[in-house]
This record gives sequence, C-alpha cells and structure tokens, in this order.
Amino acid sequence: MVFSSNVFLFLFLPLFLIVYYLLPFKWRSGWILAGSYALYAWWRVDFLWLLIAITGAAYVYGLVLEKQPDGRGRMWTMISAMVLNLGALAYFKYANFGIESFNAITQTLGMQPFAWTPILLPIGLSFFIFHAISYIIDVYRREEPPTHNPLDFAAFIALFPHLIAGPVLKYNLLADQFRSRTHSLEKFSYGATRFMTGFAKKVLLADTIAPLVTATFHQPNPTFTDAWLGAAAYTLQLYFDFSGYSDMAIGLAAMMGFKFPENFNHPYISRSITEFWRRWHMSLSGWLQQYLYISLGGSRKGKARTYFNKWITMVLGGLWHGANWTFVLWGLWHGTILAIELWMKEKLGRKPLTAWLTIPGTMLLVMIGWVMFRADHVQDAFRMYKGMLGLNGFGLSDTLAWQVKPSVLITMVIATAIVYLAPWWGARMGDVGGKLLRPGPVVLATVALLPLFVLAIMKLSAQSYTPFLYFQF
Amino acid sequence: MTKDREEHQHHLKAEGLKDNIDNHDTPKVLHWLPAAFLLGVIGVGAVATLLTPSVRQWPSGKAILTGEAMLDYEKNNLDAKVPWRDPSVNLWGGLNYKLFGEARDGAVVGKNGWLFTTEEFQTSKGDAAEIQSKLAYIQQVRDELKKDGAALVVALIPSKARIHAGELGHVRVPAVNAPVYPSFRQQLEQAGIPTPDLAAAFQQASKPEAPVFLRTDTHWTPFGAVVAAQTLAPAVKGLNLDLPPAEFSAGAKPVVKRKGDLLRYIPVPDGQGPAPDTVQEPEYTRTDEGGGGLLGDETLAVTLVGTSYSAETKDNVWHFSEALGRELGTEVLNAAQEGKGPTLPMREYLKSQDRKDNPPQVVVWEIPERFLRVAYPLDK
Repeated sequence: MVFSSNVFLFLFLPLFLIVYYLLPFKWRSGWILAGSYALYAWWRVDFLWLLIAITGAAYVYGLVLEKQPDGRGRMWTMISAMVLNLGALAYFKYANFGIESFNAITQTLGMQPFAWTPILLPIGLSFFIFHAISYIIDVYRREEPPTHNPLDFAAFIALFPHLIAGPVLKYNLLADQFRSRTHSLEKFSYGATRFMTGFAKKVLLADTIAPLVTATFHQPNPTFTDAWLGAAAYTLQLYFDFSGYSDMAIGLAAMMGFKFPENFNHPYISRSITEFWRRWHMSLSGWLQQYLYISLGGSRKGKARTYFNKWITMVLGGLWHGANWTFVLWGLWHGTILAIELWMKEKLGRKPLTAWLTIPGTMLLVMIGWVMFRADHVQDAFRMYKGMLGLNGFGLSDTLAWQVKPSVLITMVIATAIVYLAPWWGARMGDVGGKLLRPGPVVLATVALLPLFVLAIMKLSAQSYTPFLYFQF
Repeated sequence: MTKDREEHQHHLKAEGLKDNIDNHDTPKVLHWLPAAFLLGVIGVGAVATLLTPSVRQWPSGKAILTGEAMLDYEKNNLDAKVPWRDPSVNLWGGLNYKLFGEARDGAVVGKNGWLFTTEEFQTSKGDAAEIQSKLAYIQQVRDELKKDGAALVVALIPSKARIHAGELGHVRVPAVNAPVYPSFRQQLEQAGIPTPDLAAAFQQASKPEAPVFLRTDTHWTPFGAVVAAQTLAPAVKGLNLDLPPAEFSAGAKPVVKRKGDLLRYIPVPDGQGPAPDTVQEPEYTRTDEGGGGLLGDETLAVTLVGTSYSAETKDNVWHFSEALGRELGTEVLNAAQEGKGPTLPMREYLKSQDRKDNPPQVVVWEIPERFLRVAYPLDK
C-alpha cells in the first residue's frame, strides 16, 4: 500500500487516525504496530513473517549484547547478527542477481546454466534490515542501551511512514518518542502540510514527467536531444518522487506526534558531489557513514585506506539500491568522484569556484550518474551515453517526438523552477516547521497548497483511467 | 532550558530534525487550517468511498495470502469505482485538451479535429520479430485452409495516419513505420497470398469531403469500406471460384452525428472538443430470392475473418461485410470478432463449427496494419 493511493488515503488513514486518537497513549504503540503490519500485509500476508522474524531477532540480539561482557564472544554475537540480517538481505535481494551473473559467466564458457527459481523481493526489506542493523550496532557499541519494550521496538521497525521507502532511521532517534511525545493541533497541521506537499510533488510533478522518462530510456538509438531530455526528466522525476515520498513520511509521522529527520535538503544546488551526498537521501548517507564507513575504519587508518573506505562505501551503497550492475556502477561513479574530490581538497586546497560553475558542474555529474541508475541494463545506459555525446545525431527522434507533450515540458520547467527557487524561498521566508521569517507569503503558499492537494487526488484517480476500447485488440 | 533539554535539542539538530514543529509564533491559521483541510478531504473521501457498493464487496476466489485479492480489490472494486473517478478524468482530460491541445494517453490530436490512435505511432525493438511471426502464422493459415481446398486473401488495412497524413499537423509517424505496409504486403504476395493494395486504393479514393477513415474514430468510413470491398473483389474473383450468386441493393439511413471511439480520450463536454463525425450508414438489402439450395439453405463460399473493422457490432456503421458481399455478388459468412486482434478470431474460426458446416472456397482475412507489431497475449 503506497501513500499515493485511494486505499491508503480514504480507507487506511482515516481509520488509523480515528482509532489512534481515541486510544490512550499506552495503547498507541500497539495500534501503530497493528496498522503497520496491516499496511505491509496489504502487499502480501505471507511475507509478514520475515518482518516479524527480523524484528524478533534484533530485539533478542539487543538483550544478549547488553548482558555479554566486552570481548570476543560479544563480537561474535554481533557478527552472527550481521550474518543473519545481511544473509536475509542477500538471499531475498541479491540471490537472483548473483545466479544470473554466475550463469552469464558459465554460459560464456560454454557450460550449462544453473537452474533456479527466481525469489520474490519483499517490499521494504532493505529498510527494515538497515533499521535492525543500526539498532544492533548501536547496542554493540554501547552507544545506546537496548530496549526492554518489545512492542515499542516492533512498532519502531514497522512504523508505516518509514517502512516501505524510508527514511532510514536509527532506533535511538525514536526511542524517546515512543516513551513520550506530544500531540498537538499545530504538530498535526505541520504534518498535514508536509504530507500534502509531498503528495502534490509526487503526483503532480513526478508522475506527470514519468511517461517521458520511460519513452526516452526506451529509445533504441537516442539522439543528443533525446538523451539529455531523458536525463533531465529523470533527474526531476526521481527527486520529486523520492523527496515527495519522504515529505509524506515526515508528515504522517508528525500527525502521530513523531519527529522524523529531514531526508533531502535541496540537493540540486550542491557545489560538489561531497555536498550532494550531504543533501540527498541524508538518512541513507548518514547510515552508511555511521555503520559502514566507520566500521571499515573511516579515516582512522591512513590516507589510502580513507580513499578506499569512501569509495567502497559508495559502491556498496549503490548495490543497496538494487540487485543490478547498473547500481554498482552508479555507486562506483559516485565513490570515485568522492575520492577525487577528497584528493583535490587535500592536494590543491580549497579553491572556491563560482557557483555558476560548480552547481551546473555537479548537476552534470549527478545526471550522468542518474542515467546509469535509471537504465534497466548497463548496455541501455551506455546507449544513452552514446546519445548524450551526439553519436546518434542531434535532433529529436521521430520515434520520441510524438510522445513529447507540451504539458510534460511545462511541468519540467515548473519543477526546475521549484528546485532552484525553493532554497531562496526557504532562506527569505522561512518554513512552517522551523523559523518563520515572513509569515504572510508562507500562509499564502500553504493556502495555495490546499487546492493543489485536491487536484493531485483527482489526478491520481484520472491517471489510472484507461478506457476500454474494443478496437485495441 | 535544562542541560538535558539542551542536549536533547542539540542531538535532534545533529540528526537533522526540525525541533520547531510546535512553533507558536506561526500565524494561527497555519495551526489549524492544513489539519482541518486534510481531515475534511480524507473524511469526505472516506464516507463517499464507503457508500460505494463495490467497495464493500471483497473479490471471491482470489488468494489473500499472496496479495492477489487485495490487488484485485484495489484495482477493480476501489480505484475504478470511487465517485470522483469520472469527474477527475474529465477535469484532467479537459485541462490537458484546453490548455495544451492534448488527448489522454491513447490518442494523438491532429489538425481540424482529426484524431489518431497512438498505436499507429508506437515502435519497439521487438516489432520486426513480431511482424515476421505474424507473416509466418498467415502462411500457416494459408496451408491449413488449403487442406480443405480453400484460398486465402488478406485485406491488409493501412493505418489511418498513413492515409490521412495531411491531417496530422505537427506530429509525425516515425519513419521506421513507413515501409511496414508495402513490405508486409509484398512478402504476402511473394508467398502467394493475394493481398490487394488497399493503401494505394485509399490514397486514390480519399477526398476531403469523402474520407476513407472517420475523423474521430479508428475505423473506416462506410465509403472506405466500399473502396476496400471494390479493391478486394477482383482478387477474389480472380481465383476463379464458383460463388453462389446473390444480389444486393444499397440504400442509406439518414445522416447522423456519430462520436468516434477516439473521443473517449478527450473527456470534455459536447461542443468543447473535436466535433463528432457526420455519418450516413448504408443499408444493404438482398434483392434476389436467395436460398438456392435444395432445402432452402444455400452454402456460403466466402468467409470473412477479422477485427472490429468487419465484426457485426452495435458500433459498426461501415458494414464492410455487406459491402464485400455486394461487390462479390455472393453472401459472406462473417466470422470477425471485435476486441481480439486479428489472430485469435482466425484461430477460433479454424476450429469452429462454422468452418465445418460451411467449408469456404475463400477466406478473406482482414488485418489492420497497426496490429502487425502487437503481440497480444491471446496470440500465443
């Protein structure tokens, strides 16, 4: 069940909120857990066991790690917990990919492929495994005491606003909030504003641009115009889709009294890839920094190792996004640039270049990366790169031209304007969730959001409409 | 502020948390309006949803464990039935048409109120292979029919955009589709399957005042159907068959306005979108005594198989089957079906009782060009 759906908006959410606010505080974690499990089971009931098993195992590991004295035994307990969690992730998410890659190699050697029944990937797996891992590592590092409240812990892991698509949260961030949090009309209103903003971003902007992205990435021989149009469209689609989803998650959490961390901070105004990763999917980059980069030694083991750690963290971070070589190469691209940027900073010192150069330069690198990220296969990405270099000609392909609609182009212009005006707006006007500098325009913007939300709901209904036409067959 | 509180605030800041959600300095209206609005919208939506009968029904025979039932419920009982669905389609469809001159996905808006199906513009890397598989299947059908001594004639209908390209406006059909018709037709002819050149006949016959395709529909006009029948007739007669004679007269119903199927992609009130077509539906009447068999039941030597261009349906105002019968001077058995593409009706016909009861001398198989690249699940 996704947030941008009728079943969520008009059946799940009203029922959930009514019961939530009728219950006394002590029952609310139980209701959150029940609601979140119901939301998960709406996809498939038979995979709920995996979510429960991961939750139960992490809870028990926490208690065991608390009691064990520091030493090798405790380290092995932690390692076994990692093997269990990463093993589940590897099996469900990467086994198909591994076998396919293995078969590709053996078949080139003229051997028989390994027979294999593809495994279904449970939704949200990457997120709830990461939540469990962060909890176990925090307890192991004695940074946080383990919880003795299985209900709160299960509700944290399953908490529906972040269950399916993040943000990636640490237990210690929400532990206090499960014990005590405030509920107020102001907070609910803030949550409603964030939810409606995210909903509008996703449905009105990202979903409108999506068909053009699909069309461009399916071009057999994309031209210069095709390829850059596709890359630009995907750059916008991904940002508004994902940041919209994060807005909805933050908003829903606020409606329940929770404060979630921000996940995006105007990433497309970054002046370097290093800065980009401080602004894009911040909860993931924070997680990778704390639990992977630092575990690998961070910057504590010499310069060469620091470069390698940065690089491998991004490669593995890329792989986390999906079981495909495209994600590995995307991670490799970002990891390499991060390492180069670090080297340049150390060797050449800070050479502040004008934003007119660094922002477009960074965007160029990000867009090149997004092409690999979006492509179904590595060769598809290189087909797009060929187009971006103008090797297939420059004008718009006639196979694409009829699919390029003025409404989509105008939506892209609006989306681009939002990307670059939003930081300026935030700096000049402030924002509802933080410091408000000029209340008037913010009130106007919030009032303008309300009809947009209704339009977005109507668009959601309209875009799933496919008239039955007898002549189509 | 206590030290703990300060630490907590610092911790939240470090985590990127906004610590000022309960901001009492914000204007009062922002404290309640967004909440009231969201709750109002989802509340009204929830009541309207629950009052919808289908929403209160659960799909039967679908597995809950694997999510099949939920998916089916969401798609068929909920999303398709919410009360604001049609107003939403009309609102967004209307906005897109009025602001940008666009149709919903599925149609392309040309000049002067002409509409085209996107199927005539679509391309994919699998097209060539699919077209070749269609060619192979047609040859299999030819061989199958030959076992009964029946011949096969293909009525390959050119795409509307090919014939009325002048009405496309700024949109262009991909060049890769240009050779599809002549090439496919040539390959059929080379395989010994008569395939009259309907594209050339249409291009020659079509006039602004008498187009061969309907302006707002995917199908041909009654005139287009007659042109096709006149073009096909010599090929059938050239097979030197012994067709039971029949005579028909052609009349016409009064001229009416007719909304084409492509107007569904422009959901705007009447008068705000492209004007409907003006159609004069023909009426074919058998004028001879007919039924020349011993027991009064004559055999039908010609069978027509195909799609909605031929099928007898409530939307059929072109009457291609009757036009063909009139041109051939014989009754035509119509085995065409709508909504199934060109292949499945043929598969069904080959196994049908109709074929056993009326072994044909010739089968005319009507195949629209735009279906050549499409692999329907039913084809396999």
